[in-house]
Amino acid sequence: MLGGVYGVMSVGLTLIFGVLRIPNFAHGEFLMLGMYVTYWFVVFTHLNPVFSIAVSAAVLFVLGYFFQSQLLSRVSRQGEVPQIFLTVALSIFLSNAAEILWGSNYRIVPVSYTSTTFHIGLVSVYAPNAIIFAFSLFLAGLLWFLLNKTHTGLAIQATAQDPEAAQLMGTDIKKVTAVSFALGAALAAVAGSLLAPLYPIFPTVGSYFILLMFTIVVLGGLGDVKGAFVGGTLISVVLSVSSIFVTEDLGFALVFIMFILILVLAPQGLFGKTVK
Amino acid sequence: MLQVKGITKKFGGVAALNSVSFDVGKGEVFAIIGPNGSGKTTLFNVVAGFHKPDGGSISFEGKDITGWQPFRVAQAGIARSFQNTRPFPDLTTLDNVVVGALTRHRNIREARSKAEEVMATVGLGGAAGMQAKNLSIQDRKRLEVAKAIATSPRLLLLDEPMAGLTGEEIPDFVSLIKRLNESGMTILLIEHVLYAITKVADRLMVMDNGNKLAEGAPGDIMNDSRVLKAYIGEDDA
Amino acid sequence: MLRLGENAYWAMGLVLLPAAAYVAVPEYFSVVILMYYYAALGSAWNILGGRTGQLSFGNSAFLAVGAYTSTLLFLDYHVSPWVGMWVGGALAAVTSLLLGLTSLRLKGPFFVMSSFAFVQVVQLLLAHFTNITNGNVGLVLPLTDSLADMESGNPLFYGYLIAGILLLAVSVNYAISKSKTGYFLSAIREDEDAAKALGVNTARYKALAFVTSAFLTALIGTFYAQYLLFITPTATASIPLSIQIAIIAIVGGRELWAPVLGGIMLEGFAFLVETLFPAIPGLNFAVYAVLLMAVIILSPSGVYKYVREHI
Repeated sequence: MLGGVYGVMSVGLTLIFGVLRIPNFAHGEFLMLGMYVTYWFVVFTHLNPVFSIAVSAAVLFVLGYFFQSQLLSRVSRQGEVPQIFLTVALSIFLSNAAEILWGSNYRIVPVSYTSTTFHIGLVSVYAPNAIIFAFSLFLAGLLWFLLNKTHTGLAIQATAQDPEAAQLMGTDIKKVTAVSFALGAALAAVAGSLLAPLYPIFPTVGSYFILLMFTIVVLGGLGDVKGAFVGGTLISVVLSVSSIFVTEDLGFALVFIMFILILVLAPQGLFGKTVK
Repeated sequence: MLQVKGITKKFGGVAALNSVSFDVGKGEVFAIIGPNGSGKTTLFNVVAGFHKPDGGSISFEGKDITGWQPFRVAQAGIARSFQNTRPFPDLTTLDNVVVGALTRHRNIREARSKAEEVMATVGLGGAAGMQAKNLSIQDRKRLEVAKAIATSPRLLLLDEPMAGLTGEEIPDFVSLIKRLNESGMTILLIEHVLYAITKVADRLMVMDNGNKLAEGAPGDIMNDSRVLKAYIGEDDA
Repeated sequence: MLRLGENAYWAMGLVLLPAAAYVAVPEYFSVVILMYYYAALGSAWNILGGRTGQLSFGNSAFLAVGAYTSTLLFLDYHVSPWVGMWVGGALAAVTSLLLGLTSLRLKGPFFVMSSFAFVQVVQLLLAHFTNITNGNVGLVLPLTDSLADMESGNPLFYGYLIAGILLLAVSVNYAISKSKTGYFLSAIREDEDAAKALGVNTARYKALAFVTSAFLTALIGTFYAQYLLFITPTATASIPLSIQIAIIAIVGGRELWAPVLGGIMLEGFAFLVETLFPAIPGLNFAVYAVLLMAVIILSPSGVYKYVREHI
């Protein structure tokens, strides 16, 4: 079930890094902002956090669009280095801006459903996890459909693979890139909203997730939505299995060592989809 | 000097090279021609160690160099140029060449004088202090050759050194290749400019679709009907 | 000859500054120490990140290796940190060599990610093995004020200790820039395949750059431990610190004195913001981030080059 949590986190990054090839090190902070939006939404409206998804997605869509079209696009022709540092700078800026605005204390979304458990046969299911799992399946399916079955999605893929050819074929590549980046940011926000009732919220929570997200995206094969989902599940299995033998912190260490090895030995992901 | 035997290279099941064999003798200028996508550059990449072959062997001066890493192939005495020119863009033109020379000289001063000598040979002397990224296409082509010959190779692989050059640039380059050859370098050349090939090549190999089609003296090859067909086929496309 | 002149001015300035600050503004002396500390870290990073173009966000892991090695040797075996710092350096060199054998094959963002993962692993391990490292509680060094233990009651000692390490890091950079290795490292940064084609054993030279950078960073780790007399996994092997190190060198640039300028500038900046707005934690980093974005977009090769060309 926890696989859904990791899966939903990485869907947006699959689009931004996997498809667009923008190494977005601010993705964790997009998630963090999504969590805060949900927190304030619930505090002010007392509604179910699920309703905040539309708000957080909209906020991050606008932020993502602005960041890509106004800043990232200026260095997109200079290779990866400036893109890495711009997104790193954004991540530092957002987490510190969050600290300035809302302090560094942990915040918990005041919501009732977090403790609900229901039973299916012998399996007891924790309600929020079930919601997240269902949602992440839905989102992954939606993104897969968008990328592979719609005109826009094909334009996004064409732009990512060969910008010049896409431009020749009449695609407005600047707009397509900005919109896809914004969409990826919005997906991160949705994940944040879904996770908000489950995790404490604090300004640097994003840095806690960013490596796991990259691990999952690489593990699944860059740009492979289904792969990222399987990757997420796999990571959660490794984490829970290793927790039987060693403590949780060593489990994370194991995942990161695995990550380095995967990057080196199987950079095309576990499912062998050839890149380039 | 260079023996290539039965080299096969596949990309995802598709054979880019299909059991290609040829020999290059010491002191020769050996040219490879063929339409785009016929496998010429892939063959270069295999010889220079950038691709590992799926079958066959390559030996150089009696040593088996099959599957060696690119830097070892270069150290053994084979230098290559890249078709799409690969300068070190932020370094000066001279420093680009010094890097090549340093693989043979321990001392920076020696490498620098070697590099200056090479720059004069290829006609780049005036551009020494310029950043490589600001060079004209012609000078980038010269730099590509200069970097390679600064490593004092005994075999020089040139991948379309004259593509993109115009008019009087071509005879200039042809005479450069002749001079290099006369100074003792064996040369393996991929080229589309037929005028250049007939001027410099001692022998010629024609490739099509990953296969070796023919081999012989330039005069004979140019009259071969299969070669004409391969070329006419390309011109139609 | 202008270059030599510049080097002499910088070196003189760096030697005089601690004494001058100690006399004129003793209450702010720690700012000078921090400036030198970050300048040294940036300069060590520059060997791999600037010259070779392998962006590491993992250098703080080697700071931790240095700090923990000399501290544990001192606490458990009474080995002086003067000796321990070189042991730490050697250990960091070995660690980076082992890591480099696998991760240096990665390029661009993938190397960045592997370096992130590496810091996390080092931090988790330091926190986990509490019987050796005392976990997240950290290790405290005894206050002896004895020069033999690399301690002193006089802050000038620490000023000149870090000035010495900084000048060592700059000298190593200088020696590399004037050597064959330096030429090969810049060729690798500019186009690794083209460098290979010329016969450069790129894997070996990248590993050499990584090892040198890690070694110098570990020496700074020992300084850190001796200056604060208190180390924790999260304060040493930390991603934010690693990022900060990289930012210093990116904002400064990759020329010899550029990371030094970067370190002095950014620490000066952080100090100003903290002094002017002491009540807003996080503001200095937010300003840092904006500064970084501005430099990347307006002057991607760094402030040092911009200053030399425009002023």
